[in-house]
Amino acid sequence: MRDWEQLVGERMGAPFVTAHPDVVCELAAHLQETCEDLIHAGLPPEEAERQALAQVASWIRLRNDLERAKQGDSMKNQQIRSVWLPGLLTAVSGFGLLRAMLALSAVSWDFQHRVTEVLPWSTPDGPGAVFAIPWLVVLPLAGALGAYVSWRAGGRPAQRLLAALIPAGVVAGLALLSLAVAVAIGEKEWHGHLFAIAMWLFSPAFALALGSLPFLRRSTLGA
Amino acid sequence: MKDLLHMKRGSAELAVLAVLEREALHGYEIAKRIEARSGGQLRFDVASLYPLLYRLEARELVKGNWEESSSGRKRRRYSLTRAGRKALAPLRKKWRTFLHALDLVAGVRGA
Repeated sequence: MRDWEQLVGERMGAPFVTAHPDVVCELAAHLQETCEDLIHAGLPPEEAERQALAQVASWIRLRNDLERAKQGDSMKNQQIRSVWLPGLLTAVSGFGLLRAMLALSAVSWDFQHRVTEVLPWSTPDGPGAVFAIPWLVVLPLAGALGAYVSWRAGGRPAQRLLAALIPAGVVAGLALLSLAVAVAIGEKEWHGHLFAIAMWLFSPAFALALGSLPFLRRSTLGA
Repeated sequence: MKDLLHMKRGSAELAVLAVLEREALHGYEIAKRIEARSGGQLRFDVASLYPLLYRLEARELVKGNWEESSSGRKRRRYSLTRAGRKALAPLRKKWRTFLHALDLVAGVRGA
């Protein structure tokens, strides 16, 4: 008599068997029952087994379908916990730091004025006004916080990096939108927006990624 | 193509929920019941049934409970949850409307 659980386990692979022993048991019971019914209907055991197994054209595809079905919901939750929530935290802390820096600069450091002196196309209220070095210096802290929270939530290295970079992505989207609007309305100084994109995207993204580095090498929790 | 896949999946969901409406059944019984009720026109095999059952379970429309038969065989018996029962009526209505519309367009009922 065939050991159906062993057969299903072999076809599905050891990692699947370890993760979902109940599924293996259930599939095996179904195939065994099919086989027994076919034998009862008069088929020779070998033919009954062959017909029972013919229900699965591709075991790899079945395994993938089952894993998707089993993890579909939890995968969404996992993404929220390890990417979007840490990303939101990075954004809030990153922009909070910026706000604090601007407030400080208005009081004592006068960055806006200094930037205006260095970059002639920038005005105190223009996009260049936020290119404050001290902000970029402390920004890795926000990236580190996002990556750390993502790591704690079981995020993979790519998810940790994404969680750290989300604010830069949001800003990039807004900057590209402003560029598109500037081009669309025929603004002559639209190349100034390119500078804004570079300032708002690449420098902060680099700083955020830098902050996430210590947490990218750690092994994934719960893996 | 994607729409066709959704349609196929939707009709399969309706079939499974409908056979579970009357009584709780295990996977093999569900497949046999659908085959019998459809006069052999609809068939579920292992590869099509279980991913569907687990998706329905993840959406909390069905619930599976393990049980052991007198011969010692372990099986999971599926039953409709309250959400599953609630989902069945609008699903039936949706498919009735769709089949009626298809009949108007293509005359499928008299074919």
